[in-house]
Amino acid sequence: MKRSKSLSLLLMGSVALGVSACDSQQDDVRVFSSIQDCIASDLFSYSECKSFMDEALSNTPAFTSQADCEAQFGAGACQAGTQGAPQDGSQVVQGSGSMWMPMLAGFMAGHFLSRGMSMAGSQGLYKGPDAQGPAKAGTAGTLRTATGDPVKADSRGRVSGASPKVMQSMTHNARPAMGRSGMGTRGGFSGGGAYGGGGS
Amino acid sequence: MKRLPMPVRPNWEEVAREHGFHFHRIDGELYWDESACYSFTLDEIEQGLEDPAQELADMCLDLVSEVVGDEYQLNRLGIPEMFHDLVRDSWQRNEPSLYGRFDFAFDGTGPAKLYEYNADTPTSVYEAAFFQWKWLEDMIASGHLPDSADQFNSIQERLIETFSTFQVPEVMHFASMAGSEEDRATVEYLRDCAMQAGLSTRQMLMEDIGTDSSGLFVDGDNQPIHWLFKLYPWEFMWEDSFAPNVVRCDTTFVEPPWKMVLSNKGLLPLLWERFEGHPNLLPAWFHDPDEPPPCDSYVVKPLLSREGANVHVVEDNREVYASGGMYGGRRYVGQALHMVPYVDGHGPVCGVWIVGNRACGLGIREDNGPITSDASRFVPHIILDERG
Repeated sequence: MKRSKSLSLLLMGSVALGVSACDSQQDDVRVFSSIQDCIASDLFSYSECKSFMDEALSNTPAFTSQADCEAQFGAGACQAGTQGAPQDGSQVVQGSGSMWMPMLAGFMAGHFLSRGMSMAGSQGLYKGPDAQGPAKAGTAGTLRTATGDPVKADSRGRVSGASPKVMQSMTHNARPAMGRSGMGTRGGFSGGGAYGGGGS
Repeated sequence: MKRLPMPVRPNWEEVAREHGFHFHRIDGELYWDESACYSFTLDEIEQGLEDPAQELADMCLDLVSEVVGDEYQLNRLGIPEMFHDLVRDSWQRNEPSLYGRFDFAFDGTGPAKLYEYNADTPTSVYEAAFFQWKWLEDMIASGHLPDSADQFNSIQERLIETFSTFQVPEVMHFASMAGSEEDRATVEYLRDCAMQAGLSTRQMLMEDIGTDSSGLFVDGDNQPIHWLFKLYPWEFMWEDSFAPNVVRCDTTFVEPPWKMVLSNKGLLPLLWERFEGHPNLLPAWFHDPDEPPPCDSYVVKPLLSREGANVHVVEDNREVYASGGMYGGRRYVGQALHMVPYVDGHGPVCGVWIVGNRACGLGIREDNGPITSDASRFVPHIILDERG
């Protein structure tokens, strides 16, 4: 016989159950609850996870009043902060009182194709108003984007069936996925010269 | 050698999922394609592919032993001077190689012709070694193929055997680059084999490798990296800011530095210079655009490239095909044009796996264009001995 009699696997497939059948697209965007969660996935480096998180934070909407924020994100969902851009487009005036922002419940981040280019990006996720009200079956804990669009993830955290609007706001914050940079004494293996176009 | 239409297992996507195969579509296109299979006779496999691949693997090792001490040849291969000692030392220390894949043009008639040797970072090992094997077992169990059907495939068994010869003091690290599910799965699969061989393992990203205060490599928890399987080509390492650390470190790399000699397209002209006229080799040369090539129809490939990027096809002195890609460089090799043979309307490229320097299995990819790239489809194969 030219083939092995029996083979088995120890690791492969151990986290595979529960992935939907359509979960085989080019995009790989996942929901993470924290930077630690992102790093633990082994999909992204520490510096990538950090920049995903920073990006999500800096794009978190800010409101001039608690009431405006709670109207969109639910009672008790907002906290006073000093970062972020006011939702109405006005300038944040430093030191003139704080803005109200929804608390970040996590972020969705990853690599996806946009107009033929491989992009990396992230956006913040928040608990919607329904998280406070009586939980309807299946909606408790649903996370939403800043624009209120629900985001669903499978058991591996992979976003499935994201609406075009959700992906559009990802694209808005994204950058080409090729450039990688490392800091300090990590990241010294960063794709050689291949991505920089130089080399001999 | 025939291409036979086959019924697709109704639950194949579920089988794939249960066995950790999540990249069976790439860019939305089907990558694993079991609606057909290639059927070989035992002679076609043994005499047509296995024996030539083993002979070439041995020839390659002879070549390495000659080239590692030869500055002129190392320079022709484009290996930076800074790495020459590392290449030679790793060979003299007998650092082990895990695996590689020879890609052949072969249609069952005439000698298989070597396109190239993916000796450093070959992928598609999981689909060839495990999922293809699983497919055949399922097809025999369901009665779609006879009990006598076989496959050229002891790849996983050889991987486990080879890992068990590695003298790893503590943990062996396995790293791929961020952002590629396929690379990550390949590394996870090899780590699976290493664990079956009794090794302690840890998976990480190349980007998370760091150095300690003496410049030696450490993982994310600042633990030393003694052994590293890297799905990361040596030609990237040359260009990285960690290159000086690589030269001075105490890490054993798999594939080892001496594989730089073989994973380089310059291997093809070096083989041709030594074994001109060998039935399994195509004429090859270091290509100089200002010099007339030795033949009118040929392929020009960058000295260092992977996955079919930046390849030019010249037919009767006219360029007929060029593939884009970002692996461009200034130095090229030429190889006499030998089109992928058509078998029942498709163009298969036969990848013979070498594990622990033994030819031990076959994986076939087919493409619609003339160059096999990472968008090709993987099609399983069987051996049906018509004498029996």
